[in-house]
Amino acid sequence: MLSIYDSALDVPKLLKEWYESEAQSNYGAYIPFVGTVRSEDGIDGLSFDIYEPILNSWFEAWQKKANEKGAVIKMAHSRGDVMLHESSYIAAVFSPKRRVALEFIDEFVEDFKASAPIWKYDLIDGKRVYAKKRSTAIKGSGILGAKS
Amino acid sequence: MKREEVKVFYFSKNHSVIIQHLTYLRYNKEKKHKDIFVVKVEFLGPIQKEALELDIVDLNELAVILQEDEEVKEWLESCAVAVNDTLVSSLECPLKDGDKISLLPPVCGG
Repeated sequence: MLSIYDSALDVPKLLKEWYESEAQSNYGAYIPFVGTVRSEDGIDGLSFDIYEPILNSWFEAWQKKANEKGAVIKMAHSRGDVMLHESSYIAAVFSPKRRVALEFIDEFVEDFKASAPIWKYDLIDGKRVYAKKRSTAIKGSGILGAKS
Repeated sequence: MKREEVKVFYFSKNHSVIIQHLTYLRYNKEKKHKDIFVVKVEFLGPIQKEALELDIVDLNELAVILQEDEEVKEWLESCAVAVNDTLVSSLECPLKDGDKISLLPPVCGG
């Protein structure tokens, strides 16, 4: 399950909803990751653009991989502005045994950072500044560049 | 639409010289595309550029056009490319009328 919100995430509500949705599914482990906007470099918050068609297919590929191991992934992300100490990202894995969920949440969040089509901007003095230095080129990038 | 109309269309986009060059290349390479293609090219995230509609048959032609584009050429080395929302890894990707190409600059979710 992938949900996009036009605001900061309501962390207690989402974690509770996800917990309750799988409470009777016989999973032994529920491992959430909650991403919170931190105060650093004078920012007032972060802002996000999302390209949903490719985000959806990227997520579905991960969900299929998880399902093959008897696990399920849930994810929520914000679009637009999210201020300091609010949450913009939650991912969680449910699995029968803890090891699969622990490994999956690590792999999933790392690939999310490297591949999910989401663009981050710092909110500074009312401006939206692309977080270029913290961004990662998607694998296979550069094919349209000048050939050396 | 026929080829003559294409030139008028691109002239209005200040791309007439490039398009005529591509037309020349294409007719020498293969002669099967006589009607024009309209392929939409969109620029995602922080690339501040309006979508383009181009008459191109593969991504090699797109590379030629974008490498001449001052607004976008600095992004090309770091952008991934998707055709109809599927990422591609080669310029040898044939295009058809109505295809959508997306340029995805470096990402940072979370």
